[in-house]
Amino acid sequence: MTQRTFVLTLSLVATLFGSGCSRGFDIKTPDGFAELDDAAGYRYRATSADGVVLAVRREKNEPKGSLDFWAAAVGNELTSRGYGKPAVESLKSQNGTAGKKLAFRTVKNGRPSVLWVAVFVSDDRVVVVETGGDADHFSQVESKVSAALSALVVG
Amino acid sequence: MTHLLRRDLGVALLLASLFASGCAARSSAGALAPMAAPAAATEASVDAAPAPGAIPGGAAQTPASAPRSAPSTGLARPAPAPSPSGPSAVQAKEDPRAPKLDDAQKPLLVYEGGLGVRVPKAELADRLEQAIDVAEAHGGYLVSRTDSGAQLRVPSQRFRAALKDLGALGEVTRRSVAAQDVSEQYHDLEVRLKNLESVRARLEQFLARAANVDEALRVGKELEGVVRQIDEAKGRMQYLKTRAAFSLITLTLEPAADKAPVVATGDKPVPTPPARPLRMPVKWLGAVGLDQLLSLE
Repeated sequence: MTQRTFVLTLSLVATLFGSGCSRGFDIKTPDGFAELDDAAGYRYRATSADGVVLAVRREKNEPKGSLDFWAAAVGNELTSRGYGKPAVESLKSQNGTAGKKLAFRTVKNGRPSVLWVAVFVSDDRVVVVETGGDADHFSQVESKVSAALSALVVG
Repeated sequence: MTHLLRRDLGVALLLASLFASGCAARSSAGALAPMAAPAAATEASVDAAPAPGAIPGGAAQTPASAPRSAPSTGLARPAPAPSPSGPSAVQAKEDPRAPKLDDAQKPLLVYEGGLGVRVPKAELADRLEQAIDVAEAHGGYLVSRTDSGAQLRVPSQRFRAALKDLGALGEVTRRSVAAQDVSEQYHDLEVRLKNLESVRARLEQFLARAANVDEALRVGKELEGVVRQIDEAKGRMQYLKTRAAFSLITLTLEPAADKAPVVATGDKPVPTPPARPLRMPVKWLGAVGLDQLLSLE
């Protein structure tokens, strides 16, 4: 490998990492949110000053399932834990990956709360975007969160 | 003048004696009748009710050919049971040791029955029509009718059979039978009628022998009153005979409540059990949710 080839390869890797494609997705942190370093099991996590959190996890598509399967699995899991029946909405990522958004309303620490879970599925990956918080605070940033979901790039 | 006075006095005395005998007969019948009726009223179950007693003498006029209308007033005495289904079992199994009564000795009984029958609500009108058909099939007739019941008269000999057939229209919820012995009332009326007819005969004799118009008018006026009393007595006797010949059944149809949906047990439907908890063998699913999402520490 010549020096020129090495530099080009390094640049490409740096570009890829910089764009976030190494995580298998790319998300723009909404205005008024701060990305957290400690993701605690997530590939990405950001929070607003009021405690509305946006986080993304990427998992292996194992067992191999379709979008409907994973959306139903997430819905059943949360419903069984008392979240109630979600409102389901179809989504598309910015790069055209089909997804589903499950919107739950629940009570957390005595306060009405909101949880959205968006699921995108590729052949080998399942990208799950979670966002939620106090219902009053969430309503103030809902449009920003929705914009972030629309701008999501699933790798 | 003296002759005329003596003659008037004679007529007056004669009339007074005639009235005295007529009034005695009338007061006798009038005093006994109201006492006899309530004393003879009895209540009995259908099974225990004896066959209706025959009215002494005479023949029956059964209005079988007069559907759904009251029969003529010419009813006299019920005929012997004409059909095998008509006479009650009690009649059929008459105790041979029982004393044989001729018609004059048999009590004159008036039967009244009440029957409550529960029927499906949607079929109430049809069952009421069927009830009227039953009465007519037994030689009876419709007396009155409402949306949920009817009063029917059937020949007394068919009373029990008619009750049984009406009960088959649905589920019997109430059944009652009352028998009233009007024999004494009837007998008093017979005695009174006999006396009145005797007075009428004597007055007719006086009328034939009346010496002048004035005397004839006075006797005629008295005769008119006696004839009226005779008609009243006959009418009353006819009424008793009619009541005894045709028993009254008051039928009430009760709509049954619509059936509730069948449930497994108890009054309340069995709640659907919760769905079987689905636990996917995927660890990260359990981490999805607000608990981990909002935990920033």
